Amino acid sequence: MKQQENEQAAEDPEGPIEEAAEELEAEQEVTYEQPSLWQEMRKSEDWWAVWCGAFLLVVMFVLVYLGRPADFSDLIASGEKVTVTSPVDAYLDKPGKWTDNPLHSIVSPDAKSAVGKVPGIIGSFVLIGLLFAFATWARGHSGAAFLRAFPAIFLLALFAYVLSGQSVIKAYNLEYALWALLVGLIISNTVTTPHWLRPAVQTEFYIKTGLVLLGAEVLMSRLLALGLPGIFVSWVVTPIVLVTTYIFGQKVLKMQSRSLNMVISADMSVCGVSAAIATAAACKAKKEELTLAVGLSLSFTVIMMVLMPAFIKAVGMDEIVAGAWLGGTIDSTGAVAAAGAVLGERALETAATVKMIQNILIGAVAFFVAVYWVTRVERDPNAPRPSLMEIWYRFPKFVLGFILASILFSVLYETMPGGPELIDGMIGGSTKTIREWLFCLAFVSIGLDTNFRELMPYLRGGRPLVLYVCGQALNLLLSLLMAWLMFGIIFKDMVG
Amino acid sequence: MALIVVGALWLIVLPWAANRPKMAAHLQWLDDEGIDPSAMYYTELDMMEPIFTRLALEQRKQGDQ
Repeated sequence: MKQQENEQAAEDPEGPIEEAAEELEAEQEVTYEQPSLWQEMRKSEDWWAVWCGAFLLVVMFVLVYLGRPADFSDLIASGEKVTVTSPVDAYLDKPGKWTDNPLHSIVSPDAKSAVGKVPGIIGSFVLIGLLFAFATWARGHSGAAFLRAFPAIFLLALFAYVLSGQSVIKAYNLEYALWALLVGLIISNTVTTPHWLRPAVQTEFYIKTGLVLLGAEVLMSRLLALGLPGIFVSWVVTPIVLVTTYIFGQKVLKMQSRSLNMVISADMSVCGVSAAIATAAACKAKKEELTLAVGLSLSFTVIMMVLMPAFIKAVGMDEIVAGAWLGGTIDSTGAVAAAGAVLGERALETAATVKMIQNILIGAVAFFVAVYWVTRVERDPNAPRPSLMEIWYRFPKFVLGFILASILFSVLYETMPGGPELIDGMIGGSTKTIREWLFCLAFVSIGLDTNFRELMPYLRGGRPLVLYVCGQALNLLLSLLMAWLMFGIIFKDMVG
Repeated sequence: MALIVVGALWLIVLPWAANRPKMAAHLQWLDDEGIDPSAMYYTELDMMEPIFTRLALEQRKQGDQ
C-alpha cells in the first residue's frame, strides 16, 4: 500500500501536494464547523458547571441576604461584631468527626437535636441530585438514569466521609479525597462498577461545578493579610517553584505526560489537593494523573507535618520565620495549621495566614495553566499561532466561572456594607458544604472509573516521585530563604 | 474481605488508638486549638476566625485614621 503511494507520487510529483492541500482545506472546514457559542452554552459540560455554580451562589447569597438580622445595617454601622447565618444552614451538612462510634459522625451525642446532621445530609443529597439531574437532562442525556444511579454514588461518598471523620485519621491529614478514591477503587477493582451506576459517575462535572463554588472562597482582599512579606513568600516563591519544577520534569526527567507533570508541580508548590483538583481540570489531566498527584501530596504532607516542627524545634528557629516556612511548604492547609500550632501561637497564625494567601493563588494558577495549555501544549507545533477564536473555543469555560466568582465575591466583600459577614455566612452555611460534597463525589467517581492496571504505567521508573521530591526540596530551600529574608530581616519590626 | 479489613480498622484499631493517653491528649489539643488537620482549604479551618476578626479590626482602625 505504502509502495503504491510512493510509485504514484513518483509519477505525479504534484499529486500528493494537491492532496495535502485538499486535506488541509478539509481540515480547516472541519475546524470551522464548531458548535456556535449558544449551542455550546446549552450543551457543554463546562458551561453547565458555570450555570450550576452560578445558580447555587446566587440563590445562597440571596437567602443569606434576606435572612440577615433586621437591624443588620445599624449593627454594622456601629462597628459591632455580627454573625450572619444562612437560613439553609441546618439543611446542608456532611458527616462530622467521631472517635469510637461511626454513628456519632451523623448524630453526635452532644448535638442539640436528636436527628443531628440527618436533615443536612438529606438536604445536600436532594439539592445536588435534583440540580445535576436537571443539568444532565438539559445537556441531552437521561436525567432519570442519573437519578437512579445518584443515590448509590452519594451513599459511597457518605461512607468515605464517615471513614475520613475518624479522629485519628483526621489528625494525620488523611482527607476525604483519599477515602473516596479508595472506596471507588475497591469497588471497580473487585466487583467492577455496575453499568447502571455510570450515569452518575460524572467526575469532571462535579469537579468543575465545585471549582466554580470554590471561586467564591478565593477572596482577593485576604491576599494582603500579612502585607508584603506574605506576598513574597506565597506569591513570589510559589510560582518560581511551580515553573521550575515543571521545566525540570520536562527537560531533565523527560516526563511522558505534561499534564501529570503540571498537576504534581502545582499540588506540591501551591496547596495540595485543592490545587491538584483545579490544575488537573484546567489542563485536562487524566483521572489517573489526579489520583497519583493526590496520593503523593497526602503522603508527603503526613511526613512533613511531623518532621518539620521537630526539625524547627531542634535548630531553635525563630517562631515567625518557622511559621512562614511551614505555610509556604507543607501542601495541605489543615496540616500547616497543625504543624504551626506545635511551635506556638505566633507560628500558628503566621503559618495559617501564609497558607491562606497561597490558597488564593489557586485562581491565578488555574487561569494561567488553562491559557498555557490552550496556546502552547495543545497547539500543533507545525501550525500557525492559534487565533483568538481558536483559543476561546478551546479554553475551559468553567475556569472563567471560577475567576468571575472570585472577582465578584471579592468586590462584594470589600464594597458592600456588611459584605464580609454576608459572604462568610453564605460560604460557611451553604456553598462550602456543597463544594465539599461535589469534590467527594468526584473522587468516588474517579475511583469507580479507574483500574489499578491503568495506574501502573504512571508509577514505572518512579519519575513522579522524583519530580515531587526534587520540587519539594527546591520549595523548602527557597521558602526558607524568603521567610528568613522577609520575616526575619527586612520586615522583622513590622511583623514582630 | 475488604469490608472486614475496613470494619476491623475503623471499629476496633482506630478507636483503640484514639483512646491511648498520648493520642487522646493530642486530639483534645487539636480540638481546643480549633484545628482540623484534614482541612483542604482555609475556609474549612475554624481557627482562622479570630485571625479574620483581628485583621478586620486592624483594617477598620487604619480606615478611621
